Amino acid sequence: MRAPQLSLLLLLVGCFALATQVGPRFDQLGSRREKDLLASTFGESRRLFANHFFIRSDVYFHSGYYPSIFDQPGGKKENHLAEHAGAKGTDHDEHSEHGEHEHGEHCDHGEEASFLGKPKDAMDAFTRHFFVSQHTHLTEKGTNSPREILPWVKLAAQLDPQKVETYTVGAYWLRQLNKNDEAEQFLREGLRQNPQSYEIALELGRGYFEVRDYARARNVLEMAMARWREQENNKPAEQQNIFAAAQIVNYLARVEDRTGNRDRAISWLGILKKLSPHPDEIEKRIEEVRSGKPLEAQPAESQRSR
Amino acid sequence: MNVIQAIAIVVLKEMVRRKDFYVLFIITALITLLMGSINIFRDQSIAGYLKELALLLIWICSLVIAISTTARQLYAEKENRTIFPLLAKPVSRAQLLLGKFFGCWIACGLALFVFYLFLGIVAASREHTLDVGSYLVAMLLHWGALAVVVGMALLGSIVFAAPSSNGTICFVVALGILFLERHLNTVALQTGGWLGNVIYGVYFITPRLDWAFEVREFLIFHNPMPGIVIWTQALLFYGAYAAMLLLAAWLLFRRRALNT
Repeated sequence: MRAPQLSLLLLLVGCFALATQVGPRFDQLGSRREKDLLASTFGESRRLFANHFFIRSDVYFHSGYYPSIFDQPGGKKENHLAEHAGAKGTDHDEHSEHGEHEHGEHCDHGEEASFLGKPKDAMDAFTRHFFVSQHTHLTEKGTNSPREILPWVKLAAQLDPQKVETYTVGAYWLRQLNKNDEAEQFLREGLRQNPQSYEIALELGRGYFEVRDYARARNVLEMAMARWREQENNKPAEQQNIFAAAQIVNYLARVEDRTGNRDRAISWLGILKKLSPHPDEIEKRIEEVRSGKPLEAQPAESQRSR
Repeated sequence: MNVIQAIAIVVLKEMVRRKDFYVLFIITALITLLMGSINIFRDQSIAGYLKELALLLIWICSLVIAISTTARQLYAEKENRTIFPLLAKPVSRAQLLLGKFFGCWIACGLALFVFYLFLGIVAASREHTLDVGSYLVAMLLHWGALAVVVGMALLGSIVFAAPSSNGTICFVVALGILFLERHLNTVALQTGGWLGNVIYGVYFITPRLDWAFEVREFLIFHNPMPGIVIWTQALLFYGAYAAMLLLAAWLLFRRRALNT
């Protein structure tokens, strides 16, 4: 064999041997490299991009009916997707036990529904045929339609892992799509990035509660409560996130009730009474639990997902 | 008519020979397929983000093809001095402009067909369904809007000194219309005064490329497309606007000295 061909063969073998050595190490570093790459490429501006993509998920939730920066003065300012997922306290929550937004046919989104207003001129009226000018939600287009928001939530989480809301909202919609394992994994990732977040712990506990894994739900919710106390007790009362605390305590009471610890359930309900805007309702429930009635109807066996 | 057709065929053949379209199509396909290979919570049926990305790339590529192909037509003829034998055939200047226009526009249409076919295949592979009618309407509106862009670039090639400046200005104007046009009336009302009136004037005289651009969202969100009467009116608008630009180009070109 001639020298050049032999050199080529030796180089090829050398490259192959080197690749087998270096390849696995690069794979191990893969996830870290990805984050480093995002951080070095975007710098602090990645938070802006993350926020944009999070808003984009809200745009998808509204099937494209969304105010632009030019419509903002009269448009919506809060992320409706987050409200829907129960990540934020709203006026609706006072009437909804779980803090989830129900969309019935009489659901009125007020300012959000009317940001376009009446057509300003004939050209404007005609132009409205060419963009989404009617308020609908992805949830109205089939049970699996909300999956379209997931890429944007995932991208937002990768760009800004410290944005807690991304994880709670993403996990809510993953659970709505019966992707409980993915929701748990996503929240665990969020908790790794934000170990002090009681919001993520609450969402994780909520997930365990829904699949009737009460032992883990209790652990996580108690951890959430401890972190809430660490972070919120130092704040003035009007700045405390009472909504989150009420949700944690509510779930803890339900966990204890489901596992037969009535005294513990009553104890948590006592705390909830102080937090709730409707203490009379909570008092009524405490009386019911004391009299031996369950706090709520037990879910049917067929609903068990685990 | 035969003269116009012959010139248009030459333009089409030129586009087939050049690599612009192939490169842009391969880049679009690669980016779309790469994004499609990302694992998003183990769900292989999510298509919205892919369609959005692919449609945006298709719009950018189609603008690049339309503007770059059209902007160099008259300059190349002048630079190679082929315009003199061409006009001595005899071919009138109006026929030359029309031939160039139709050649570029049909070339854009063929490119669009390939792009939308690719998009349809990607969307159908994910969603297991394809609303062919909606894709066809979106493509027709897109092609109609490109007639205006081609007309604009042809007019620019008579007004501006070099293809680079013409291409850049056309691209900036087209992007400005796509992203801002829809909101100009809101801005005009918020601004008020004489400046508001000027902005409102601009709102009414600029071509509404944004109509074709915005219908992308109907494909992404599975909303029903505008009715046939509406999109036919839009196509007529684009046709009339392109004719107006061609007329302006002809008025400037008919007495223009060719040795400059």
